[in-house]
This record gives sequence, structure tokens and C-alpha cells, in this order.
Amino acid sequence: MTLLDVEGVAKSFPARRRKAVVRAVRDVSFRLDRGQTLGVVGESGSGKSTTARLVLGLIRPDAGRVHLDGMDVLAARGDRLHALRRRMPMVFQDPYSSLDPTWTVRDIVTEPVRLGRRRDRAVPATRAAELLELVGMAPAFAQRYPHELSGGQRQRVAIARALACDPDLVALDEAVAALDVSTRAGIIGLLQDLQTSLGVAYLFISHDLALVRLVSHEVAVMYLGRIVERGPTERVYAAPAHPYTRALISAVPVPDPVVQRNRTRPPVLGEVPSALAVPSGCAFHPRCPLATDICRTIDPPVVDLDDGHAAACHHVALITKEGVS
Amino acid sequence: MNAVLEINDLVVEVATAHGPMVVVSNVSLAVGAGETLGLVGESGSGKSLTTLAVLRLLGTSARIASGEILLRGPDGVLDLVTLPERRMRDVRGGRIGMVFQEPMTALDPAYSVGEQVAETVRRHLGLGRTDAWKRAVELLDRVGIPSADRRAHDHPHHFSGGMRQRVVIAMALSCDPVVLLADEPTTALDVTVQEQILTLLGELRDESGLALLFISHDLGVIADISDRVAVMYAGQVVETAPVHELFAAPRHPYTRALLRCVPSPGSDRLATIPGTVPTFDALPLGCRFAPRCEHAAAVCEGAPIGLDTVAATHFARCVRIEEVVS
Repeated sequence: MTLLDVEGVAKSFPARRRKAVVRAVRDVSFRLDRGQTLGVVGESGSGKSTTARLVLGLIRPDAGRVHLDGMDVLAARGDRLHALRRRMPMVFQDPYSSLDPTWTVRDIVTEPVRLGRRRDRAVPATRAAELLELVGMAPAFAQRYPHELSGGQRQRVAIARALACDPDLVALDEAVAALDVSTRAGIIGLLQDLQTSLGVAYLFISHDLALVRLVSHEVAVMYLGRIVERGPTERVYAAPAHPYTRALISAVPVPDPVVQRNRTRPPVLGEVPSALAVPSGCAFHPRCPLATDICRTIDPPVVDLDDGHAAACHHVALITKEGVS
Repeated sequence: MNAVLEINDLVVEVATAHGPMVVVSNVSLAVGAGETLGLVGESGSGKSLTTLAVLRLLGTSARIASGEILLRGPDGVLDLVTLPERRMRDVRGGRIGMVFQEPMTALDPAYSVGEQVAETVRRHLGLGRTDAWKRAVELLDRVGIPSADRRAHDHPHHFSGGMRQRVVIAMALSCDPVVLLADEPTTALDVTVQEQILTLLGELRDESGLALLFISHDLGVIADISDRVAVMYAGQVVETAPVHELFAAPRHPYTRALLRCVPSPGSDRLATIPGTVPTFDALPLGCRFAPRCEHAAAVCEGAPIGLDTVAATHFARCVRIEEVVS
């Protein structure tokens, strides 16, 4: 059942000085089912975080539609918008700056509940303990302050806060990127358990392709503001159809020296251009080993391959026929 | 092997209100010419402090309490622990080049990149302005900056993250160092750019016979670039081995657990390590990993555990290796 339906969303920002605009997100469409995880991957400046903020109604798109559970997020105003936002909270990368250092853990995790109530109704005293239990923390942590917690514990608190209003969807924006390997593994396991027990859907934004593969049912690959490929995770990873996806997957070093040193890797030229000057035609063409004349002039449409797997590349047929190297 | 950089029994202390606290405990490492030693560990394991100690850049709150840091060059052996500060300044950026995580902290935004590379050359090699500039352009070209003669006039903010890191690498290489210390040099970069920088560092090492000490928390990066790997935990080296052996047959329970914490294709759960890294004011007397170790037994507690020989080039700080492996 579709929980989140995003259609043709676009957003530009005015650049500082000059009259240019940053085309942060262009024509982004996807769907996310209840209880599922959509992984959004891409390099810096690809528009991953802006997409999340647009979907959650935190910034307004220039074009497009966003529906949560059939309700139009962009048409909602005031109390209705706030009620919708409580159904889709966000967890940020840095638990050192996303938690108020002067508040106790109890105040932090129950704030969303308080905001959703009338002033005269208090939050039940047990709610903080319930939320902490959900994220595997003892009730005693309710009296602590963020500075008394480790990075992993802080991120658990941020997750507990996100769960406070029984959300349908949690947007996780690089939520484990700042954590150590062993701490990260614990948080990922927790997120997986919470999805099973609560049926919450995740918008999992990350630059870590291996992690996205592990947690996502579907994956969307973004490049300079566009989704260049999306589909069921295993299909995309096993048979990437866009040259950028192929480059990205093969650039991730594998923690196995035998495999890592014997991989054939298509060379990726240069770096991501500035979103101030998105290349003409296909935005990836200056870095693409397969680019031809058509790529320089015409932005490729999204081509459906099979089973929800789609890619925006003029040479999709060429790539899928020849298989992945 | 004749190591270019050899660290013996290095102890680093940090001053606290309750007296000195040991944060790097008897670390011994060696890197040979043309070799890459990968140093891996989680935050607080002491890997960055070890590199800062090599450069004697520990600041005012930390100090080298004991040990030796030997740098072998054409003109003999220097012990960096006892070297006068004046001569240490020649070593930093001279015989030892360094590359850190964030290129913008290593570059001055007010000067062109050419001037910055040329300044290092003038300072260490004593070249004149014209020659130093020529050498700077050559170096920028060598590290893959396109149209280096023109781009040398640009300031750092005109460069992308990857290009800035190339500039920093050019500065590090400017005085033909024998050792390159690279502390998380690709962590702030995008993955396609990371690949390019790793390739570049590998080439430079092979061309000039640099000894490369490469620090990273990323096991994939370590697997890519290292010849040998040292794993650090709570201020100690807990295992060291040639890269293939370390990944194929890790012996220390921490190394084994760490390798299971990273995603591998086909699995849908990550292994976790219970508990947390001990704080330096409450280190266990015996094995520092014992409180989190599934193989821990009475023998692990009570007394410090030494590095045990597994094979000629493979060492692990564990007294229960037999049980761990079976």
C-alpha cells in the first residue's frame, strides 16, 4: 500500500551574488510503501537532503505533488501541516547538534508529544520511559543530559524522539554517518527491529552504498538533483542500468583485499560539477564513458525496465544488454 | 626489512585534573620504503594521537612520556622524540609529509595554491622564487591538477574538495619526503573522488618509494591501499599482519568483530559488539577488550596482555587465540 507518493518535485534556490540559481532538485518522483525502506544514495550536492526536506513539507517545492497516506502535504497549512509533520519526523546526522544541551533526555523525547497536545493536558510520566525502552535504553537515562551520553546513545535518543508520535515515516538523513563502525551496527540493527515491530517506513538517505543495500527494499540513485535510477535494491545493485550507478557501486572499496584488488572498475572522470552549472543534456555526460552527442543535448527521460526498475539514460539498452562488468 | 619510520614502545600521556592519563600505550609500528601500513581503529583508539606524536604536534595537554620514534634517512637515524624543536621543524613538511582529513584546514584561503606549494619548497629546499614557483607547478601537475600552470594562480576556494586534497598532497610531496602520514585523507571526499585519490597515493608511493602510514576507520579503504595493517583499540595495537592475512585470518576477537560489523552482500543483519569502548580513566587491568569479548575468560583479566606471535609477521594481543579460532 502506498504511503508516500512524490510526483515531479522540483526546487531551485537563488545563489548568493550573481543571478544564477541552484537547481537543487529536478523532477523527482517515487513511491514508498508502508513499512518499507527507500534508500536514497548519491554524492554531495546530489539533492538527497533537499528531497527529504521537500517531502516532509519543511521547504516548499517550485513544482510537483507530495501525498502522505493520500493527504496532500503541500496543500496543508497551519495545524494540519504540523499534524502531518508529526507523522513523518526526521533524524539528523549529528546527534551533538540536533539535541538541545540544556534539556534532559525526558524533555527531548517527549517534546513532540507536548507540541501535539492542548496546553492543559500533560504528557503521561511513563511516556519517556516507554520511548527509551523502544530504543534499548534504561528509564534512568530520562534524567540525563545529552553531554552525559555517547554518540550512539544520543542517536538513540534522537530516534526515540522521532518515534514519539507514532510516525508512519521516519526520514533518516545520514543518521549513522557520524558513528563508529561498531556503534553504527547497533543503530542499524535497532532501526531494522523497529521497522519490524512498529511497521514504520524509512526514507534512508546515505552516501554509504553498502549500508543502503543492507537496509533498503527500494533504492533511488540521485545525481545533480535528479533520480537517475531507481528500483528494487537487489536488482539495482546486481544489474545497475545507469552508468553513474555502475561507477558509484564500483568505486566503493570492499573490505576484502582479494576482491578489492581484482575488480575491474570503469574509470570515473573528474568530480561532480556545481549545481550552479548543471551540464546540458544528461547532467552526467561530462563524466560518462558512454556519452555520445545525444547525451550532450537531450536530458534522457526515465525509462522503465522491469519490475519497477527504471533509469534515465539514453544508452540503457546498451548497458543492460552487455551486462555488468 | 629496514624500516624508514620505526616507532618503539611509544607512550603518550594526557594531563588531567587527576594527573597524567596514558592514551597511547606502548605502541610499536614500522613502515618500510615503498610500503603502506594501514592503521585502523575506531574513534579514541589512539591512531591519530600516534601520528601527531610522530610529528610532535601533540599540543600542550598531551606529551610523549616514553618510547622512541626513529626516522631513517640518507644521513643517518634521527630519534624524533629527542630531536630539538628547531630541527623538528625541518622534518615536518620536509622528510615527513602529511595529509589530513579536511584539506581546507591545511590550506590558507588568502594565498593562491601555487604560492602555498612554492612557500613549502622555499622554506625547506631554499630555492629562489622563480624556481620554487616552477617546482610548485610541476608538483600540481604531477598530482593531477589539469592546466596546472594556470590553476596555480587560483585560490583554494576555486577548487573542489578532491582538487584541494590534491593540492595538499602536492605540498606534502614538495620536499621529497621519505615518509607520508595520511590521516583519513579521503574521509571527507565523495566515493568516486576517494577512488581517484587512493589511486594517486598508490602511484606516488610506488614511484618514489615513500613509506606511507595510512590511517582510516574504513576497512574497505584499508583493504585497498595497505600492505600491512595494524588494528588499534583503546590506545593499544591489538593485531598486526599483512593485509591479506589480516582480512582472511584475523586472530584478535576485536578485529574479527570489527570485520563482521560491516555490511557484506547477501546478509541482511550486521553483527554488533556489545558494550562500549572503555574510557582511559577506567581501563581494565588485563585485556582491554575483555568486557566486550565473547571469548573472555579468567585468564584475560588481572594482568596486561602482550602481543603474541601468530606467524613471523602476524601478531595479536590475545591469550585465547586457540579458542577464538576454533
